[in-house]
Amino acid sequence: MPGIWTRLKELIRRTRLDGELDEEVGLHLQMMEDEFRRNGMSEAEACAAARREFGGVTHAKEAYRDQRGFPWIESWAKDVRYALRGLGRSPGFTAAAVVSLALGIGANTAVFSIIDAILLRPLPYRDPGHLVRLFETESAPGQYPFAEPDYVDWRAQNRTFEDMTLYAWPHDMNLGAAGGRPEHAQALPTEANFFSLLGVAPLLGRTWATGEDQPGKDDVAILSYGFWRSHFSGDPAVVGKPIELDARKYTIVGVMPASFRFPVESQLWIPQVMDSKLFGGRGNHWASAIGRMKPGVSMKAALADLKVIAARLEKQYPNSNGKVGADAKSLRDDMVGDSSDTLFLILGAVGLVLLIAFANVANLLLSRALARQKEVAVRSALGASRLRLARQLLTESLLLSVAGGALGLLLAWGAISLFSTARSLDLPRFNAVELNGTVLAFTFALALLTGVVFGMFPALQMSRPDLLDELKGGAGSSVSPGRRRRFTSHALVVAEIALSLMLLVSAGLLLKDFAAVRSLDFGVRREGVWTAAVQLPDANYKSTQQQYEFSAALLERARRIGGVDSVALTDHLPLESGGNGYITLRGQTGVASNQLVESHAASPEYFRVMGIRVLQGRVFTPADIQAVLANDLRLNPIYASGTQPPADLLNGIVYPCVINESMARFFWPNQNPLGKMYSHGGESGPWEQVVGVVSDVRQWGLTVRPRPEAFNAFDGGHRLFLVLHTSLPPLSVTAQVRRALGQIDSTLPLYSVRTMDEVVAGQAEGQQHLSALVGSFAALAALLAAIGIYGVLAYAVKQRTREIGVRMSLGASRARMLGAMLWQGMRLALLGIAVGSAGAFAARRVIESRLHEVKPGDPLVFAATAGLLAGVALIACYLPARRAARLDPLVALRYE
Amino acid sequence: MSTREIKTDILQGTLDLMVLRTLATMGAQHGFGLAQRIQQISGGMLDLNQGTLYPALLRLEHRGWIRSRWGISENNRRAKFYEITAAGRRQVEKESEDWARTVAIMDRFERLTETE
Repeated sequence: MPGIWTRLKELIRRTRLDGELDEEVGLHLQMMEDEFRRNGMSEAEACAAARREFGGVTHAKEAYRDQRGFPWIESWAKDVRYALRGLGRSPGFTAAAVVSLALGIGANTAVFSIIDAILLRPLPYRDPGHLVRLFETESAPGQYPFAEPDYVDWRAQNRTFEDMTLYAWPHDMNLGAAGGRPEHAQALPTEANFFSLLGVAPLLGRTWATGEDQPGKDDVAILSYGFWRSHFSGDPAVVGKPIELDARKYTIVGVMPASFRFPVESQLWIPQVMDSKLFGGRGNHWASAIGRMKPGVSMKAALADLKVIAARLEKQYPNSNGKVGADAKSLRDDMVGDSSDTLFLILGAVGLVLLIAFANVANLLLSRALARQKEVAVRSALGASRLRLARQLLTESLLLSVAGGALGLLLAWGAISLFSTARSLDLPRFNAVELNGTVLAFTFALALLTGVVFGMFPALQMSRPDLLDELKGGAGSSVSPGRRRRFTSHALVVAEIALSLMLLVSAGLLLKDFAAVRSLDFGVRREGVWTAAVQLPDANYKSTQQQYEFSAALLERARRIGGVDSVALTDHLPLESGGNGYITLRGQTGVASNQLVESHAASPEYFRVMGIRVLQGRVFTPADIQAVLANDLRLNPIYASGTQPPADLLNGIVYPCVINESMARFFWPNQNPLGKMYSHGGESGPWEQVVGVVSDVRQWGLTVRPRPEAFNAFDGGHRLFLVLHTSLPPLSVTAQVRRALGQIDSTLPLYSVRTMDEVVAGQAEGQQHLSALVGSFAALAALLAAIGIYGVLAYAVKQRTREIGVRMSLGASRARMLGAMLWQGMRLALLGIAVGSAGAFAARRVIESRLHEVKPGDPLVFAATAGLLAGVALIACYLPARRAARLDPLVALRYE
Repeated sequence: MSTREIKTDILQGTLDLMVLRTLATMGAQHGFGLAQRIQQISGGMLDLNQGTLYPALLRLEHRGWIRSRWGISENNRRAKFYEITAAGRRQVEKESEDWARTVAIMDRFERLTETE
């Protein structure tokens, strides 16, 4: 490629080469003159003859220079310079176009980076395509956690998996109070092969060694990156140091990198002791599991294999495994979950914003092109080719889109850093959201596409101007532009308004639904209810008696706090899930139905604290607690030794229980449930006897209907929630409860301190952020649409200035002019609103799955958003209309 | 009319071949010399705007068929000399063949019109 090299040199040494060309041509002419003079011409004649023979000197030089270097680059550079000058001359237009594009491209880039992290990039584990999440299934709720012995059988009997690994729920543990206030941390217990199965390496130290999930060897811990930084100041020599968890000494063996999050963010990992005796057999479902399929095994084959095992277990253990099946799902699908729906909803919203931004820019370019018709006509008459003119317009729009894209990237960068620090949307975070090559390519492509599409659009319209009309001077200023072009620009505005209304309606529906969900009556009062959690470590609170004494002491001291009118303990807060199982009614055999019954423990005042109404019978009394404690003190040592109590002992035990209305209605319809008995343990008891019926509470979330639920009298446990009702400010209660707890056991942290309002807010958080996000996109869309309609009307006022002058001098009042101009703009706005309403109504299914309490066709939301948008449009129209009404007729008439 | 007054416009693309052929046979030339040679060879029948030679020379240089260097002219002045390259010689051969073929074809047509 010698040509390119020569050309580059030519480009760089342009001035010197110009000089050389002059010299060369000069010499040529000189030689010609010499020749002519030798042939007898005078000096003047020779000079003239030489020039004649040579042809046009300038023309030759010009033709020479045109060929030199990279002609297309130079002419393009000329286009760019020209476009920059042109854009600089109309800063308002340039700013509006660039900002519109930046908002559109920036928002889309930010959303795309989230989509890239969750949907496009693979899971950050070794060979993630072979990883599957495993589930047992129950008849009622479908996918269900594992019973540990079942898992052990699956792992041993399967033929399709390389390996399986088990992990538990994140576990709250007390950190030793090294001098300061005691703290708690979330630890995830995992089987020893957990990290090696995922194929992730530690940042420091090592992951589990084989056998560390066996009793006695499990006193090791791995820290998360965040925990390592916050609690050990990122000490590089942390491996080998001790850490106290739940009053037990652990040795730190490793630190995981910041990028590792699975399945949720936990602060540290501890081994899950794989000892079936600890977990109450096959009826106790609590564990999660993942597996790595052997190479070449399909999901279908793996699932079939697991179903065979489940069927075998069903036959072997009909009592516990009668309803238990197998299910599996690719780990990716499991982790992405339904977030792809959320993402596509957001992408749709942000895509609409982009469309509106596009329409805006198209309209701006069109108005600008109309205003420049004469210039284009002149250039065209001077011989500029259509291609050249089109290229000029294209250059301008590409410059705009590149500037918009660059600014948009900046906005996106801000949005992304906001997203990665804030806990906003309820989305999985296995991959970091970042501006990587894919995202940059997306932005670049978007900007380029914008530039080309919107450059072509006016370029095509403008590159065939009617030369004569345009050049006929004055005609251009008073005659309105072509009907077709005006139609295009009006159609764009109508589309903008329609699209932004669709977004506003969606946002309105989500916001209304969010408000409705937040204020939903879920069966518990919010005002003045304060909650906190306490965890009793096994090391110091192993026995039932110890646990009871602690809970009694805590209740006693909390009750003494002034301003507190009721105090209770429970094992699960409302809305935040719980435990469940099947029941057998007294006098019947087998489980009563496929209906699971929620079971919770609560101390006597729980119902008073929470404002749960007693509908029938009574709630617990202190005497109930004593009776329950007496039974537990007899039974628990037997269970702890790994044996079953004798049948006659179990059959003789009767616990009092309080049930909710749903349970009463489901199991004893049209009967008095008081005094009825049932059992969680089959026909042999121990028995639960209904002493009272209370109103329903939503235990599994704000939008999940209440299920049959039974309360037992709470006589203590490892994990407890203290709840109380007070007229005091929550903060002062916290300080006093913390002091009371410290007096009982100074090593125990009080954590997860929240008012009931905060518990509710935590539930609706994902929905809150989603509606806020769609809401801000809708606001952005409305703003862009307002700019759009403003631009079109302002342009129309300018075009019609002389007409307005004529009408006003013929006696039209200012009010009339104002009305006429307003109507011109509002006509478009109203049409857009009508089209948008129809569109939103037609597309209401899209948003339906996101709504819980509000119908997708909610007329109030439609009316309110239409009104809002009409108001915004009116303001946007008023500004140019007022300018029209304030025109001085004399000035307007002379306007050119 | 004498033949001297009939001057032919240079056919598009033929100037390149003339330049290459001239340089191939006459060796390195400066622009004026080259123009002179072409005029001489054509017997003065060409209407050559000598200015058009320079863009053509640049074009040929870009294609790597000729190269240029500064030297001293016969009357002791700095001048730019052009000479043909190996690639240029190959090009001359190729174009000469093409040209001969074109001429032969056109010739057949000419004879056709003469006999019919």
